[in-house]
Amino acid sequence: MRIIETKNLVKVYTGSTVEVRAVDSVDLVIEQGEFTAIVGPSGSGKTTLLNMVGGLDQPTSGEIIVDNVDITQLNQKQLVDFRLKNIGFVFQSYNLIPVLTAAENVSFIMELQGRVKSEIDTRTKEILSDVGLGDRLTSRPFQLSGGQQQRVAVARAMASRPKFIIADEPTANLDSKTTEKLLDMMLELNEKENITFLFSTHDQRVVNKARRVIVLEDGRIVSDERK
Amino acid sequence: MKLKLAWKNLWRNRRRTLITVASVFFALFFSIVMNGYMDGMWGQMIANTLKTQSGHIEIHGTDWWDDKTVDNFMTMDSLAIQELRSLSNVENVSPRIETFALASFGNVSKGVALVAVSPSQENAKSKLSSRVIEGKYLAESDNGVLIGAGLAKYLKVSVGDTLAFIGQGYQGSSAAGLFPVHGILQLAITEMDNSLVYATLPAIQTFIDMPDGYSGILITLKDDRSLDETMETINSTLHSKDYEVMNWHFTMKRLLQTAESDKAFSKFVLFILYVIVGFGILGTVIMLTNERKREFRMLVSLGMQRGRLVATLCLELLIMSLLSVVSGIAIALPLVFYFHSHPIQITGEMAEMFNDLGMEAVIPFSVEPKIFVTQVVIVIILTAIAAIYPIRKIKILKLTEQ
Repeated sequence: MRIIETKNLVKVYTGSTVEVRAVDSVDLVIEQGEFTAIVGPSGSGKTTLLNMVGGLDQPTSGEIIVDNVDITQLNQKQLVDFRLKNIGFVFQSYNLIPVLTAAENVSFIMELQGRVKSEIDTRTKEILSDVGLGDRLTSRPFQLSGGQQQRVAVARAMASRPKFIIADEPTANLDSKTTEKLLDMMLELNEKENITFLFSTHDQRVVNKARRVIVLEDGRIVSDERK
Repeated sequence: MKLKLAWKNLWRNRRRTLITVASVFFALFFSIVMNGYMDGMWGQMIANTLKTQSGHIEIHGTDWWDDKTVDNFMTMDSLAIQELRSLSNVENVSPRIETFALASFGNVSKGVALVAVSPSQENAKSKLSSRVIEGKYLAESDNGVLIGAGLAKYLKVSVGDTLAFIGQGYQGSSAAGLFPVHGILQLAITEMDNSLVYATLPAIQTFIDMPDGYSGILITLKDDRSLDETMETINSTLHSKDYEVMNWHFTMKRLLQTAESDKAFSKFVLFILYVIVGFGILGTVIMLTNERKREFRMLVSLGMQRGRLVATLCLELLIMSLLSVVSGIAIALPLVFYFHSHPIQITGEMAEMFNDLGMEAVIPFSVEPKIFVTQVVIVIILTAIAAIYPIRKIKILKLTEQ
């Protein structure tokens, strides 16, 4: 089942003298449950592509179909709502809310979705246990290591069972051992909950774990390989 | 969740929040105390003046206010005056005559201000009898006069002497009469002490040849807040074009303006204070907004509507304001109420002057609800203005900016 499809996707940044085609005529299909890494050198358009697929940025032209909805046609409010219900995000620098505990950070999205408290509590405990932080429910971000914080971020992204998760350089700030652990954990969750993962990364360790690797150069897909 | 997040965010930078809350608290506290004092002081001053020298409402003949001559005096029979006294909000009705005459004794003459009153009514209103330092107070049908000590000295008269008065009577007649001095008054204002003569109404009505004639009728109310309603009732009771009914806002315009200009200065000081506090709040808001830009981006990216984010932030600012307001009022309220029930006692020469004028030498603080409500509204408005900054920032927030 196609979960993401882009058709002739273009993003052009216009400066005062130069025009940069950050994403250039990208046609991409992501099936449900895929664990895909988008790789490429800096400036190749990885983040721009993910931002557009995640509804954070508007393309210059082309279509982005997510679960049969062309998200380029949605207005700002609809996009926010669409992201809330369908997409999970994992950021490079964790981006947890510092004043909330690990459990509150995870339950936050579900509360925004208006889920009932009992369901939120159960799911929060379940997903934090799945990422190995069942005993750190009440810890605040500053009390957790970088790896633990990123695991909370993954738990947050997965908690509401989104259609897919976008992870922009999720391991960039982590050491090798923590990266390995995090990737194994994400693979496990991918298999257990059949949630689609889409990464942008420079990290060869992520590429090695990915089941599909898409290479971007100058905004174009130059290679798309399934393992 | 909004409330929880707002509350937790508020204490993210505890010291900054406390400093902001403290600055608003002190401004609010100072404003309430200062307004309580100023309003109380002027309220007392105006109430005293209305009680002793004027009234909340004055009734005159139609043209008297512009041309204060005997020919413009009004007439009113005792039944009509009794009807005014029976109105529900009326405390005191004091008919009077204010005119001028030439007073002579022996070879000395002086122009005097002649005030004719009902001695009992006047005493009830201004405690005039307490200012008699020699002789006795007037009885209702007395033909004698009370004169200021300064005037007595000038004319070289003492109690028991008889003064000759020459003045203008009604409709161009000349008025002349002899009035024995029944008492000498000590009046606080030198000008009045040197020129004022009190007499009874019948004596002066006979002197000017105008039975039932008055220069005006002063009315004191039980409750000043119903001034307009009582004015309307009086107008409909009188139902005549021969009378002009004025309230003290008009007749005591100068006193009111003095009070307003004095209050305006304190308001200006408070305005400056609030401007400083306003910039303090704005500084805090700008800092917290810029610190959290990345977090705002993340929240909207994850699916929090901008409106909801704005509401959370506004809630945080509102809690901060309410903390200041509640603590400010909690401290100021008992203080103001204490000085309302235990007014500041004026001492020294000022106290003597107050007593001579028949006024109580105290300054009670005002506890009018508007004093508190106004300060709360000002703080809320300042916070609302400061909130424009983050609201705008969130509105134009770009999610893909690094």
